Amino acid sequence: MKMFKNIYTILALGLLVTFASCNDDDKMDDAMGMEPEAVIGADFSVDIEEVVNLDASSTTGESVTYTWTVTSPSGAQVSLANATSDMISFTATQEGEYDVTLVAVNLAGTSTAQSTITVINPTYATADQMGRPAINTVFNFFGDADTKNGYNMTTPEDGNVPSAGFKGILDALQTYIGLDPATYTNVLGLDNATTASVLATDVLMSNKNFPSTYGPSNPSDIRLGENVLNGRGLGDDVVDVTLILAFGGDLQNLSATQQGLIGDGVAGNDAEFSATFPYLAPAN
Amino acid sequence: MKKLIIACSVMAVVGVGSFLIAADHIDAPAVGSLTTGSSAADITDYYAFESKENSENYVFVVNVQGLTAPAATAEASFDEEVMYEINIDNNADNVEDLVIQAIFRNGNLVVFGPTAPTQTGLSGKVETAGTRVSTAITAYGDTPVVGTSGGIKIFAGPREDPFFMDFFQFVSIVNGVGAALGDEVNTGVYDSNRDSDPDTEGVQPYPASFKGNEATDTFAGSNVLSVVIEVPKSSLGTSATFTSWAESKRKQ
Repeated sequence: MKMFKNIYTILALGLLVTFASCNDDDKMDDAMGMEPEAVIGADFSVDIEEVVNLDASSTTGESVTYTWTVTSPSGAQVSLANATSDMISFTATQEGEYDVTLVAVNLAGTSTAQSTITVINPTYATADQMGRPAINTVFNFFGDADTKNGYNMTTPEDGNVPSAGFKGILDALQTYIGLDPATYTNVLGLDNATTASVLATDVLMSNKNFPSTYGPSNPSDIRLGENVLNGRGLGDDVVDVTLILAFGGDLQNLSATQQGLIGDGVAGNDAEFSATFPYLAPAN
Repeated sequence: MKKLIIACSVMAVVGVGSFLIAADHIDAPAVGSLTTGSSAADITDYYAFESKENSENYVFVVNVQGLTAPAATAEASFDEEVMYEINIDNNADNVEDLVIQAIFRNGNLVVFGPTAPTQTGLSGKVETAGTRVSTAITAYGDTPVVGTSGGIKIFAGPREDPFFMDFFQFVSIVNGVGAALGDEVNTGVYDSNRDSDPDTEGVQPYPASFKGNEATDTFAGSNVLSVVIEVPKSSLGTSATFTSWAESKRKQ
């Protein structure tokens, strides 16, 4: 077997092509059949990470043996699981041109075919954007289609939304329940203008040095970016945190209405989360 | 403010049932609506938290295609034309310094990064310079298939929607705000004599707050398609603090 492999390698290098053609007389053809003609099809393009399938089964000739060589855009040879089959496949992990060579060999001779597979790395454009929970929903609640779509297609660098709109909504919600938005400060000590400007850039803050949580378990111990608004866990009650920031004031002297507005009454998820990856509960 | 008042009036007329949108479920018509449903480009929720398995790791979750009923979940699929990108900003300028990208090919999830992107902002390409991990998408009902490489773990497949909220009570309250700003009195203040349902006899006041004893998780029983990626904290830059956000990006 090893000897055969060596012979194929030599054939693949084309050194015996001359030899084969020197012996191209009728008697040899009768004894050995027809020389193969390697066929691998035309060049084509795929997107990056697609599986490239190449089929040489249209190659002619008796008892043909195949040797494929695929060179990636970086110049390295692609490792092929089935390099001596009439069909190969590989994943196009690099952008650029893959050069494919097929050498088909039988006792009558050798034939080589080549093709080029072009791998495209396409451009992707933003369709939806999300940092903190409920921003587009709550603060663009009154927005029209263009406003909602526009929010999703704006980068945080450009400020996802005008913060004046956010402030207007906070003001309206507080006025509704008899609070004075002009003097309102939330549990973080932020007035509506400041809260609005923070929320208008829709990113989630994280601090790797503290366990992540969206809201504090203890309202009298509040450290912004450490135990408040530090990441977002699966079980974090982000709705209650948002309601507390919008309606809770300093939480010390709550009216009956405020008491009923700082929590939606749904304390947790209906399914239990797992302690191990991927953490989310199985689908219903 | 005037714009808000007009918008509130419109909303009050439209009424309660038209706003089944929450954390970010069907938040904008281009990615999903009540009539078209939530698409693979519609991010319903984004989570970023310290790993429960290993405090040296951080976990990112992007959920899409929300409000998927159990009967429709086996048919729900990721879109090969839609990439999910987690953006990480280490220096508080709101520009991504690192990205983690997820794409789908032939039933597989392929994840790249974290790596510095060659291009920031609204359009980009697959960034192949960093770690590449690939694994099969987990089918509905199957045990999670987890891909691992270079300290990174990845998963993609249907999961129970972890978001919880009494969305309908919230909408009833906010519709009351809209009515208060839009009625002839236009006080903007709660009034128990303001009728939420003029077609019914007697005054049906708007709720001023949540009724805890009637609390219902609007999202109980529904599913999402989920992508979960766990990486070493050390791969997220040297700063202790960072900000992050998720994007869906569509092939052009």
